[in-house]
Amino acid sequence: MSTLVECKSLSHSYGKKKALDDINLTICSGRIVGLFGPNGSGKTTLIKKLTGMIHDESGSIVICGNPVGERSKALVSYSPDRVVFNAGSKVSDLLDMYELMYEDFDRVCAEENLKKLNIEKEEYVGKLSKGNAEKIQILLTMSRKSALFILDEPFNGVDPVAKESIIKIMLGCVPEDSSLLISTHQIRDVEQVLDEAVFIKEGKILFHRSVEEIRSETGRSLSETYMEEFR
Amino acid sequence: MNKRLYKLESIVTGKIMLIFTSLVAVYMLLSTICTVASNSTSTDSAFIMKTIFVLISALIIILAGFAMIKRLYNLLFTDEGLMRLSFPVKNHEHLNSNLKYAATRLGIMLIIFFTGLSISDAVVKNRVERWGVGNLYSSFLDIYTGNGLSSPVAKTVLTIVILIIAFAVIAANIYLSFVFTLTVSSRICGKYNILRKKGVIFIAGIVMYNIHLLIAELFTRIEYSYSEWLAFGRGYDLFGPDCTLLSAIDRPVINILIYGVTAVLMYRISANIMDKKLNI
Amino acid sequence: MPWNLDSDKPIFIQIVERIESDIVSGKYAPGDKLPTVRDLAVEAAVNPNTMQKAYGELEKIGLVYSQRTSGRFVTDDKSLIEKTRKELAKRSAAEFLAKMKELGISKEEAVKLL
Repeated sequence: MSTLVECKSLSHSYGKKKALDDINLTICSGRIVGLFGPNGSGKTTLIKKLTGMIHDESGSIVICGNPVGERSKALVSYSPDRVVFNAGSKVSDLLDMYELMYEDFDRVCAEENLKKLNIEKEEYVGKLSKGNAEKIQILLTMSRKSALFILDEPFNGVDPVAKESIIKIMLGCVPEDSSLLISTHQIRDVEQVLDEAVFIKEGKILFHRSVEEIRSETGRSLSETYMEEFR
Repeated sequence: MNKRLYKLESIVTGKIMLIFTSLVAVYMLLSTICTVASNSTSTDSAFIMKTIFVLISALIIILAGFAMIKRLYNLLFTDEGLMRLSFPVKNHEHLNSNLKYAATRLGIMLIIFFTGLSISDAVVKNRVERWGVGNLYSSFLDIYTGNGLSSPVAKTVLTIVILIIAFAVIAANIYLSFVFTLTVSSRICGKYNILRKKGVIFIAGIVMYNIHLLIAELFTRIEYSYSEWLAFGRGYDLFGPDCTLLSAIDRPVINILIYGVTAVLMYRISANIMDKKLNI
Repeated sequence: MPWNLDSDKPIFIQIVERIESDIVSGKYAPGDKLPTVRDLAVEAAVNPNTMQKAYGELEKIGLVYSQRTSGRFVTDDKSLIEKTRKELAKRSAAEFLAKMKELGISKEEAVKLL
């Protein structure tokens, strides 16, 4: 198992407020990793650093041997914490855009999944329900053959049925050697899916462990562990 | 990958720009037809038609410029940026592609606009004041011929070319002022993570200030560049016998240089912010 | 439907139990081809690595064997399936008795109840 992402002494502050404080994190290939923490703990900041949305550099990030930049962006597939598509574009426009901009985009797979979700290609994004828009964003993100998939709050405002189909899209699409990083508050919904869990608090990593290890050692589920840590 | 980004920008901005361009073209045709129709009756209606054409076309071209700026605003200040900045290209390529299509599309509109002016100039002949490039040419030709200098045609063409360059530099300077405002305020918002949503108000303040500044500047800038050649009715005498080097490198050329250099500077700073300092 | 798994206990043990009971109950007949790791992981909504581990465990027991090119199959060894059936029955009987004991019901009383 090779190292996919390596963050070394990563820090970031907004003015005087520290959002990330000396983070060291390694993600190996072929793993599904959950990123958990209360609001404002620095999850989104960490993700934005990994995806190159934030530039003020301190510490280093290496993704498959590349620093964050246009080459790392070609390897990382990222879904932000809200729907980012222009309301005026059609679903088919989005497919065209992804196909144009990403060489590893698998259009056939994306269209199959669209059919499974019963979403019309000619529909405008603005007219879709919140859950469906979120599903399309995850679907497009997952339809690439990337090395690393990053999903920030993929279950924001979606119903339980949509949640289930999003999880199935996620599991069905990840290539074997690729890794998936999910940041979410809905631990209960993802804990069966995870290999590893990273707990983050006030910009620091509390712990980073295998989920099955936590279960067999403490006899507690991940959500119980979370409640205990952050109560 | 850059080529793909350019293609995407061209597709995305294509529709709205096509609408704007065809509007200018339709107005051009309408005004020409109306001018021709009014040929035999009154000169007043021809003048009114032409004025309306100029005003509406100018408005459309300014709106088209704003539509292109809006693309950059969306990139830097809305959620759409999170998606577009994930594309595997260097960040400043977004700026480059925007500038490229703003320049070509607005250029095409301006060419149509001036062609329209020249056509109506040709149609109405001397009945109404002429505003087109052809008019510029003949008035300079008059000046140079009147002065009895050698090769008046070459000088006239040269003067008009310099005028067009001056116009283009000023337009680029104005456009880049907006780009600069957007990138710098994005940097300020991103650095302290403030006003991201309400940042609009902040940006609006800066933009309003700039619009005020630009409108005031626009007249002086164009006046500067024109006055030496037009208002004083001398023509731009680069090579004539009574031209000294000192008077040749006059305010207009220095102005063009200043606007050109500041435009390039603003572009460099914006590109640098986008590549190294952007926090979305 | 995702499988109803208990998040307090290691997931892979629960998956092994689930597939064992599927084989014993005849949902997968002897010699049947099993779904691929990926398909079953998606169906159950669990991590593919965990599913892989569960299949590995089943292979170790002998209930499942893999052919390199064509996938995984349920064993033809009926006596092994029979043995597993008994083991599973024993296990649930033990669980039942433990539960009864918790309620303060003796073995004899429990048998009477049945």
